[in-house]
Amino acid sequence: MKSLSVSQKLLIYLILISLLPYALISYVNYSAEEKALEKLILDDLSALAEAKNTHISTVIKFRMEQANEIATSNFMQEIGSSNTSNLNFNLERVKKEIPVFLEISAIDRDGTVVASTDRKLINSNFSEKELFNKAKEKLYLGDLEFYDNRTGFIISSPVFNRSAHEFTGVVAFRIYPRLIYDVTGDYTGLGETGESLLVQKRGDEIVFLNPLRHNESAALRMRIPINSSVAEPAKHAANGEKGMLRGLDYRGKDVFAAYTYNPVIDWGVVVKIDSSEALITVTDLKNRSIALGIFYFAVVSALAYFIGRKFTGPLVRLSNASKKVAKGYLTVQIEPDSTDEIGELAQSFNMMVKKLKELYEGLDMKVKERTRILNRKNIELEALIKTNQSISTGLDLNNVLDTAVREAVKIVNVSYCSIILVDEGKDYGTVTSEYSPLFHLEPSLGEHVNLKDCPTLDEAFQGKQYVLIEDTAKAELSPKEKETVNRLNTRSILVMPLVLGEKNLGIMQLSSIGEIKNFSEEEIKICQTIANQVAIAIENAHLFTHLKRHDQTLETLFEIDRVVSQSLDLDELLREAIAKTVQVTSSDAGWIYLPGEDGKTLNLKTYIGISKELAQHASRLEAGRGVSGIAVKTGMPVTMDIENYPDLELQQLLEKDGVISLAGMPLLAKGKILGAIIISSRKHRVFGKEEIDVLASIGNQIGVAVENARLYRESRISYEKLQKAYEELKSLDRMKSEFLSNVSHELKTPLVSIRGYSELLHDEKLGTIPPSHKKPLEAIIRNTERLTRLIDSLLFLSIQQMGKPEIRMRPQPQSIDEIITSSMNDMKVQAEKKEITLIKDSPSELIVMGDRDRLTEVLLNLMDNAIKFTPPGGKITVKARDDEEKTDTVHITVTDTGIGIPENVMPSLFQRFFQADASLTRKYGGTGLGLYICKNIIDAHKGEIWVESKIGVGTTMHVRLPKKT
Amino acid sequence: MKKRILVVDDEPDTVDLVKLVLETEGFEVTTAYSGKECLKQLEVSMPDAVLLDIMMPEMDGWEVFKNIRERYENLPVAMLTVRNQDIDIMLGLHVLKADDYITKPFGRKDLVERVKKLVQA
Repeated sequence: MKSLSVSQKLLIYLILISLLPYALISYVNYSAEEKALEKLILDDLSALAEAKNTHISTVIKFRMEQANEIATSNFMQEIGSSNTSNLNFNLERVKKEIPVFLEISAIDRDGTVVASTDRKLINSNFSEKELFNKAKEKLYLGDLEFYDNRTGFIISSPVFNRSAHEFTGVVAFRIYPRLIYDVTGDYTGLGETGESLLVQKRGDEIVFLNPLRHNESAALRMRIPINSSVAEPAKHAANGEKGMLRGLDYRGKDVFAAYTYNPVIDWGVVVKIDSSEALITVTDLKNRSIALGIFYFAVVSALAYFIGRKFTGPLVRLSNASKKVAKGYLTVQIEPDSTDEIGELAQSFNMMVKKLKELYEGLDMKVKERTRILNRKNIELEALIKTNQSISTGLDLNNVLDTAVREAVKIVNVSYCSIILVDEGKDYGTVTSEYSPLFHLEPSLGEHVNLKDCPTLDEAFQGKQYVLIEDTAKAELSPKEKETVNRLNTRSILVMPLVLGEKNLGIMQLSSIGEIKNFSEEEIKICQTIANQVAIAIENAHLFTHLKRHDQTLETLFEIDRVVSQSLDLDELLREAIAKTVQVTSSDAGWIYLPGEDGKTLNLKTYIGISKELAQHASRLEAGRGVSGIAVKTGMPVTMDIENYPDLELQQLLEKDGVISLAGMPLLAKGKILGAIIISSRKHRVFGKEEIDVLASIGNQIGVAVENARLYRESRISYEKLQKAYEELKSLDRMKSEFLSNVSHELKTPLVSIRGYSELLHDEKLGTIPPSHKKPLEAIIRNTERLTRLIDSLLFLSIQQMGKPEIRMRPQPQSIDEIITSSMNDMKVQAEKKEITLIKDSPSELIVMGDRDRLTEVLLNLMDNAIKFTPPGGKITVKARDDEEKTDTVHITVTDTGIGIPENVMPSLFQRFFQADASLTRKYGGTGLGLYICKNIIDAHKGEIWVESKIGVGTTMHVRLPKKT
Repeated sequence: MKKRILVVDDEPDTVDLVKLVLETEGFEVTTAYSGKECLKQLEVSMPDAVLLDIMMPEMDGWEVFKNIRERYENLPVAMLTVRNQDIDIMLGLHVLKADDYITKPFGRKDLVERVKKLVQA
């Protein structure tokens, strides 16, 4: 809408305002008409439907009466007799008289067709048919069916014997519904499209029973599913309903319909007419309304257009003029053609344009002026940037200054520019750079300029302010200045100080030769900027030089460090150190002294660049002699010239070698003075502060290296000592191990015979023995075994003590019950002797991972202890169970009723050679090794062993062993 | 036919004992008092099994054992020794693969049983 012009908008609004009410009224009118018409039509149709239904009922009743009449006629009495020839004839006659009877049949009481107008049917059996069964007592009316390609319905009637009043048969008529079709085919009051339908519901379908206006062959042939979306009136009628509606008929067309139901024949009756035809009158009304609307629209449009033109004309002119002004045509004026508001608007507009024009012309002038200034600034700025770039990126001072003077000449447009640098604290400067495009200068580069002679320069330098001499002819100048000015014909001079912070670095001088130059304020500012940049550049260059020097020093130190730290051999280290030091300090000779062992002498360890003779003479110095002596004594660097040398003898020798200047540095490490390094030069040389610092660092580095070398030598010596001691120990260890092995061999060998022969005797393998010999022999055998175990334990312990790698067990699945049983057998005699009862409580299925012999040893030890510390008459129980606390272990306990273990000794119970009380050893015997061995064995099995005890009650030893996995 | 066992040990008392024990159980026993003697005897006649001591002068039992294994692969050999440290037993049974490892002092019945097993295999 926004893009539309005012007149267009006006037009649209007018049309909307005038046409809307018209359209609304027409619509309301139309729908009211339509509603009224609809009601009228439906009422008419409803009446028509009822009339037709009544008519059809009458027809059916008439036919049924006809059938009844025929059934009760005389000739039908024949039906029960055997002769039916007359009957046939009579039926034919009836059929001829009443042509709508398509077929007439007489059926006897058994259901057999005895006569018929259709010869084929005679003798057929109809006993099962409805037309027979249902007609036994009263009239039967059948459905409409096809017969000989024609539709027909059946009416059958019972026939009774007149005299006996008994059922003798049935007469059946198939009737063509001509009269009914006449009723439905009568389109009176139904216009061009209306029609009547007869319908019947059969199963899931609606069957149309009569020929239709729009479908002549519809009867019985047209069927529509009951759930179809069309044929609404037919569905209602077939369902037995009565009413009217507007909806879709079987063709899908919008129709008005009235429907009703005939219960006698179970038929629905529909009367309908297409809505398009029925509503034709209101449609005309609608068309007329539309035509009127169009005409109305045209009139209003024209009207709106003219009004729009009238109002918007001046506005459009104003708008066009504004557009022109916006484009820059400031001469536009409008002729005001009226005195109303629009006229005033035009006048205001003209005023505005005039003002605008004036403003614009002023602005134009200003812009031109500004552009001119900007252009100049731009040129100057470009030059400045260029100067700045070359100045700030260059580190070579001369280059930088040359660029600066050239650019200055160009920017300020002078004929000469020079830079004079003044060293700090000096009263003279040096011409470092100059340039003139006018003539070839007599080179004054490097020339010293005494500031006292040139007060103009001095004033600028000291005052840190620029000095301007506009005309040399009018200025007061010193004689020296006058001389220069005259020589070059200098007319104007500008002197700029080069200042950086508090520092005065020099001056920049710009002069005009041959003519007077008026330095503008801007030019002076530019010169100031250049001067500032030059000052920065000079400072940068200074810093850079300083940095470079520092860098070189670092490199020197690094080089020496690299050389000396690579070597741990002292002599080699010193040789390399002195060579490198002489090289990096640009000396002619150098040597190193280290103190002798007594501390009273200094020994010459290495030298370079001096004669052998000197070296020999100075190979050993008393402490404190010479430069080295001083350096060692003071711990500070020393520098001196040969004439100041403190030792006459050495002085002569050194002079002979051509030594002029010397510097000595102490070798320092961790605050200790380890010696001195001396360098000498055959030329006179002043060692600056920085150089002395570097020399001191070199001294430190060599000192540290010397200390490292010394430490290395010492540690090397102690390492070799240790190595030797270790080898000795190793061989001792081997010897010990062999010794033990041999001892056990020697100890055990006699036991072999003792045990073996005792067993032979005991087992009576060598002949019968008296029974009284048996016990002693058993004791011998038992004690041999015990002794063997003891020897093994000793050997085991010795090996452990020597710290040999722990001997690994050979864990194999073992029945813990078997181990307990065999250990108990071994201990039986011992227990019996003390009248102690041994009780075993272990299931046979428990399997542990372990070494059988070692575990037996543990059990024997535990039981041995228990027997030892249990008084006679006591009880020892050995029990094994699945562990209650852990799933993968077996818990074994050895419980006695012994004396118990005091609490204070519990912690040390499993230590070597432990027994609760020394007196116990005497009383009970034993080595005190037992539990220690047990713990070692159980640990090796990755098991646990611990103890529970109560004094006077007894002790329980607990062992936990891994189960077979 | 009697099974013949060769007993090798530098200790005559031990040799006599083993001989006596085995003979009372119906074995035939021949004896050797050093490794060299053992090897010499084997060249002459083959026993059904050998009981071999380890700690013998000159040629120790391991060396003799290796020699026997090289020459008479299928001859059953049991070590009979006082060395009962695990490392020795492991060496004998698992590394050198002796047929059995009996420690001295032995139990008489144990020895007899193990020798019976040795000759059966």
